[in-house]
Amino acid sequence: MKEINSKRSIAYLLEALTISIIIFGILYSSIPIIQKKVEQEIIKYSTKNVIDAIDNAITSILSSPSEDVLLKLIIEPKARKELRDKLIIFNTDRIKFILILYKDPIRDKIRYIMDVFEGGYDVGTPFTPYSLDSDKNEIDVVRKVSNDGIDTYLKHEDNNIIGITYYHAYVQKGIVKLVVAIDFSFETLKEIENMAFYIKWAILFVILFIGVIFLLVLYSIFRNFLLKQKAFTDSLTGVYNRNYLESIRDMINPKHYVVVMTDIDHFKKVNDSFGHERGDLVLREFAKTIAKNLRKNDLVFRYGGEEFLILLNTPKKNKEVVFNILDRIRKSVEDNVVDGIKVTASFGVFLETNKAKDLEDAIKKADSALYKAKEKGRNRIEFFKEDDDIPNLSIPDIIKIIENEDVVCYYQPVMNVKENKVLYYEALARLKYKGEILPPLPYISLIKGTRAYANFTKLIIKFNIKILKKYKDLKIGINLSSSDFLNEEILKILRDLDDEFVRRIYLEITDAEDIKNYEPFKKNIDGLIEKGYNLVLDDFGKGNTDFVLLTEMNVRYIKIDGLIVKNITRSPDYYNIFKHIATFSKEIGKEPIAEFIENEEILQKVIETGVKYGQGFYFGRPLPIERIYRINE
Amino acid sequence: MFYKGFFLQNLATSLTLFLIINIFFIKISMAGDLVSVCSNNKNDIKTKALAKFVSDITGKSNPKLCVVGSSENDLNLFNNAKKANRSELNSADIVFVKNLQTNVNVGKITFALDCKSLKYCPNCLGVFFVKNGRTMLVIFEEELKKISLKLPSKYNNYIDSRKYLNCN
Repeated sequence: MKEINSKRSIAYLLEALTISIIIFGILYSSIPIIQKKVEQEIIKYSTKNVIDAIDNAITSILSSPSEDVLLKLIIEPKARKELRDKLIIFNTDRIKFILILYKDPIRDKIRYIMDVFEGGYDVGTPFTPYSLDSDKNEIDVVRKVSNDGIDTYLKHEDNNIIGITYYHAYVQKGIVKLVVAIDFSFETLKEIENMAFYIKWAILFVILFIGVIFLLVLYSIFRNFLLKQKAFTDSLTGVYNRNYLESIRDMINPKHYVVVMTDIDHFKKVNDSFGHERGDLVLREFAKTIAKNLRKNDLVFRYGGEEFLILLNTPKKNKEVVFNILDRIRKSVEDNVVDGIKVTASFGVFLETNKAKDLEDAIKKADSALYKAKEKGRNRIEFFKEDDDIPNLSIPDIIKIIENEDVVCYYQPVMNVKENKVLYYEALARLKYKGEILPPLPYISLIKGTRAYANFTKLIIKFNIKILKKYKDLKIGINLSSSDFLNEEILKILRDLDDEFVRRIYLEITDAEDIKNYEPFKKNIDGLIEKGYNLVLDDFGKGNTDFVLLTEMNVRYIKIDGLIVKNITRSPDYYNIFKHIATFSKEIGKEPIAEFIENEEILQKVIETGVKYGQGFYFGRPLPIERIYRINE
Repeated sequence: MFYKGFFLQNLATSLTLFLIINIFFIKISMAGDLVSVCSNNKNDIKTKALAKFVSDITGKSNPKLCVVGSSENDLNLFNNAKKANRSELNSADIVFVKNLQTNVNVGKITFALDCKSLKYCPNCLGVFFVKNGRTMLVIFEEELKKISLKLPSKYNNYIDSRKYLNCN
């Protein structure tokens, strides 16, 4: 993958260099055009005064503006003399000749009105300079000026008397009546050419300078690109990291991809049994196997720990095609024994990404399918099904579930991360509905504050007491909302419990920010603590986090909210918040617990802050307690 | 009466003879006063423009061309040329005349190399001359018609009536 990236970078650099060479080539080749333009401007500027004076002189011989100048000059020798007298002053070293010409419309010939300096030419004498070069044929040039009325000039390269001739159209009532040819000396041409030459080099220097600056900018962009690429590549596996995903999140349209979440089954066991070094090797091989089996337009990210996000660029979202790709990877992983370690991988696929709200939503759905794959025994590919995900339950459906006691708990370990020991297992409620196990969140909130809700809590407590009876060494955390601590029936159940169970129960206070009646709530909490329960304040750090409440309540543990924890490796701000909450908790005698530890990196950061306890997918996903015991055996 | 008639007859004969002798002498004097040089190679001509023109006007790749002038200084047109005799002049494809002081009619396509020679060369087909630092060419349409010479269209710009050219 790294090799592919470096090849791609070189290709980008070559592309950029080619473009800059082309741009530079275009600029360089435009120099003669620029030079010509500059030359034109210099000539125009140098001749302006003479042209104006000649125009004024010609106009001054007319008795009225409507008088035809051509006719007057042809028929009146006096007018010609007057004009000649006025123009003779231009006879300098710079100006060799001034010729007043006109086009004979009958014979289509160019003829003299006069040669101002030399004289001796009668009106009508043909102006016929002979030239071998048709482009430099003066007759055609004068004819063109006479037709178009646009001044121009011609350089005489093989003439050592006149260097350049400027042809000026004298226009009257929109018609070119005369063409004044002003012959500048050879020396004047040299002066102009020298000036143009210096300007050309100045322009060339500026272009070179811009070119160098452009190359420097290009180099800096490329260097920045390499640095970014380095920052966006996971150093262990060589695939893109989570930071890259975050940086391009807005640019990714999930509709163009099939979203796949995959991870190595029981990877923690690999790390625990074979050490991190060999664990890293397994991860590297896993990433390599994924990358090898994907196409150029697919994307792979190390999403966290042993979890990888794959974005398959398949416009036709054919389930069979996607299954075949992923099964190929699954089999390769299964067959590939890395340093004596055999692992398997599970895949969760979200195919119908056109229905996703955004990439986050698509990832969540793929993750949910991965979860299902894990539940169904791992080493398999599961496709997300909308219908299976969240069935639309009505309040009567939920009440019926509670009445039928179709409620179970899955358990997730809360660990002493330093000693790698389980502190307790948090009981996470699940609803059983039509053979499916559903998370309670979207439904239970519908009945919050009702009697059904209190019944639901009682059911959970009852369920867990049964479990505690069955597994004598088990410690369980039960979630109770703040309203449960004001419910006498629930409190009675808790108060009446034998001490044998009490010391093994951790009561997690959820929704603490909803507490309205603080005094009785605190009194009840204190009573339960006195009874011997371990109290845990859940989800601290989100919502209206109340530090007074935290200080006043005699809870033993504080769970720092998962949204803070999962971002501590990405953002220094989150890391600082986490560190300060943890320090503050410890200072007021409460042990912080970090939620949502999803991978090794987060775990290391948590340990770095001195926090002893944590929970999250890195240690284990919620499972039925029987399965946990089976795995631990 | 007889004598008178005899006298007049002799006078007429004498005048005719005088005229014939005169014309003969003019021709002879042309050969005597004027100098001419010829070349068989157009590339001998120093001016590239003139060499090209010679080719175009004669239609030959290696035309024989001669220059006739009032002195040897006027003949400095060729790199390699030798003095021509009468028969060589007669076989020329084109003749250039320069600085003429006397009339010339060699019965060939003749071009003047200066404006003033036109006065002594009524049959000149045209003239090359320098004016305002430029080499001007005028080909006379009347002469072209006379000899029914068709020139390439690129020479159209230079063809004009002789009456427009004033060489004073």
